[in-house]
Amino acid sequence: MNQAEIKALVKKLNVRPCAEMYGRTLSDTLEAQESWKKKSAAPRPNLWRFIMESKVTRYSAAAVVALAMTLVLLSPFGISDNGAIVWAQVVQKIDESQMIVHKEQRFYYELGEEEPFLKADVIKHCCQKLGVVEEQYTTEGDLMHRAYVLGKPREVVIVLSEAKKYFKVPLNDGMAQIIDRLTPRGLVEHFMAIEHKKLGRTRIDGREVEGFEAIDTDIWPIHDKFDFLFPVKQITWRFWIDIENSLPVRMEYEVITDRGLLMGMKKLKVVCKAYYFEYRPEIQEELFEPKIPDDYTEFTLTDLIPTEAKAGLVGLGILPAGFVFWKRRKRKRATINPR
Amino acid sequence: MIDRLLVIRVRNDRFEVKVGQTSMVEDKILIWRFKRGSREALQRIYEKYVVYLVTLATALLNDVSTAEDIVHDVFVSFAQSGERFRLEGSLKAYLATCVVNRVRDRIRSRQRQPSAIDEALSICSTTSGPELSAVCSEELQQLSSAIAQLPYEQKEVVMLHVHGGMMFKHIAKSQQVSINTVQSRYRYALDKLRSLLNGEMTE
Repeated sequence: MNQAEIKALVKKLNVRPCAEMYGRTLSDTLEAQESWKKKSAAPRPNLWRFIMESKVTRYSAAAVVALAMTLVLLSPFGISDNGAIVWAQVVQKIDESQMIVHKEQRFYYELGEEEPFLKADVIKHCCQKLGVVEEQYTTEGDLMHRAYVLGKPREVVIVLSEAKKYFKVPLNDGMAQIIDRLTPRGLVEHFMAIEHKKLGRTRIDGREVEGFEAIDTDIWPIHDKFDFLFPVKQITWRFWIDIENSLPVRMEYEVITDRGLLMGMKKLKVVCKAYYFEYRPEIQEELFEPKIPDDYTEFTLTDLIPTEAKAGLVGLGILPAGFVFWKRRKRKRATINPR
Repeated sequence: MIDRLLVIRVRNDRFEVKVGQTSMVEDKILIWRFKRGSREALQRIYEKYVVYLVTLATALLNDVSTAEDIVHDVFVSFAQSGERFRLEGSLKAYLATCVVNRVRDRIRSRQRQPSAIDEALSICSTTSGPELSAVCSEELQQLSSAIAQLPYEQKEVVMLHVHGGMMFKHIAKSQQVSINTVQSRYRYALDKLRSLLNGEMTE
C-alpha cells in the first residue's frame, strides 16, 4: 500500500454517531442556542434603536431602508439552489459583468383587489462597484423619479421630476450597514440560505432556461427592525436562469405587505417583472452621478411623514414619496396666495 | 469569497458540481445566519460536521463514547457563542480545532496517551451495535488499528491534514510548533502507517 492509497483510506474513515447521541447532541445544541437568544435579547443593541435615537434621522432612515429595499433587494440578484449550486455560478457570472441593466414592470395592488392602482415601468442599472440607479416611468412614459443608491459617497439621492424636488440622505455607519447588507453580495448571502424549488425548464426569448422559486418570509432586515413602517411579510421570487451562460434572463417577484406607515396603512401586493437583462462588461460611471437640475429644490421625508400619517406613503419605496408629495402640491395650489 | 466559485457547470442536462469553495461559502452564510439566531443554520452546521468531528475525535481518542461527549460539548459551546462568534478561517477547521483542544485536555486529564490497539477497534467496528454504526471494511479496520499506534501528535496531523483537509500552517498554529515540525510529523506518520499496513512492522 503506497502513501496515496493510505491517504485515500484515511479519508474514508467515517464514524457515525449513534442515533441517541446524534439526537441528544442536536437537541442540547439547539437548546443552548435558545438560551443564548433569550439572554441576549434584552440588552442587545440593535440598529433600529441606533437609528431611532435620532429624531432627525429616523424617518429618513426608514425611507432609506424602504427605498433600498425597493431598489436593491428587488434587484436582479438573488436565488439559491439549496447549497448554492446554481447560484454560485450565477453570482460568478454576475461578478464578471461590470454593470447590469434591465427593465421592469411594476404593478401595485391593494391586497385583494384585482386591478392595480398603479402601473409603472422601470429601468434599473446595477453596478457592484458603484451602486444602483433606477428610473421609474408612468405607463405614458413620463419620468416619475430617478433614484440613486450609491456606494461612494455613501448616500441615497432621489430626484422627483414632477415635483421638481430632490432629497439626499447620507448614509452614516449604521445606515450604511443596512445598505451593505442589501448589496448584491449581501443579498446573495441571504438568499443562498433560503429554501427554494425548481420550476423546471422552459424557453424564454429563444433561450432555454431553468426556473427557480423561493418564498422568503424572513425579510431581513426589514422584518425585525422596521415592521411598523414597512412590514413586508413575504416575497416570492421566481428566477429564470439561462442554462447556457448561467445568467438570469427573467425575474419576477411578488411582495406582500402588512399595514404599515409607509404603505398608508394598507396591505399591498406589488408584482414586478424584470426582463431584458443586459450584462455589460464596462461601467458607465456617468450614470451613477446624480443629475439634479438647477431649479429643483431639496426636501426630506421628515417633512412628510408626520403630517401625512393618514395618507401616508401609499406604495413602496420611492413611489409613495412622489405620490404624497403630489397630494401636497395639489393642496398648496388650492390655497390662496396671501400676496 | 464568491469570486472563487468556478466550480459548477451545466453538462448533459444536469448541473455538475465540484464542491470546491462552495462549501466555504455556504459556511459563511450559515455562520451569518447562526449569528442572527437561526435555528436552521445551527442545525445545518451540526448535520454537516458532526460525522467528521466524531470521526476525528474517535481517531484521536480511540474511544467512541468519549469522542461523542467531546463533540457534544463542542457543539453546545459553539451554540452558546452566538453573536460573539468570530470566524476568520474555515468553519470546519475551527470546529476541528475545538475538538482537538478538548481531546488534548481530556488526554491531559487522564494523564495517559490512549493508543491501545484493542481500543482502536472501536473506531471502525461493525459489531458495536447501537453504540456505533461505522462505515468500515477490513482495510479500514487495519488502518484504524495502525492510526492508533501512532504517537498522538502524528495522529493529529494525519487526521487533520488528510481527513480534515487542514493546511499544515494551521495545524502548526494549533499545535504551537513550526510548520517544519508538522511536516516531519506527517512524513513520519505516513511512513509508519505504510509500514504497519504493509506488514513491515508488528507491535
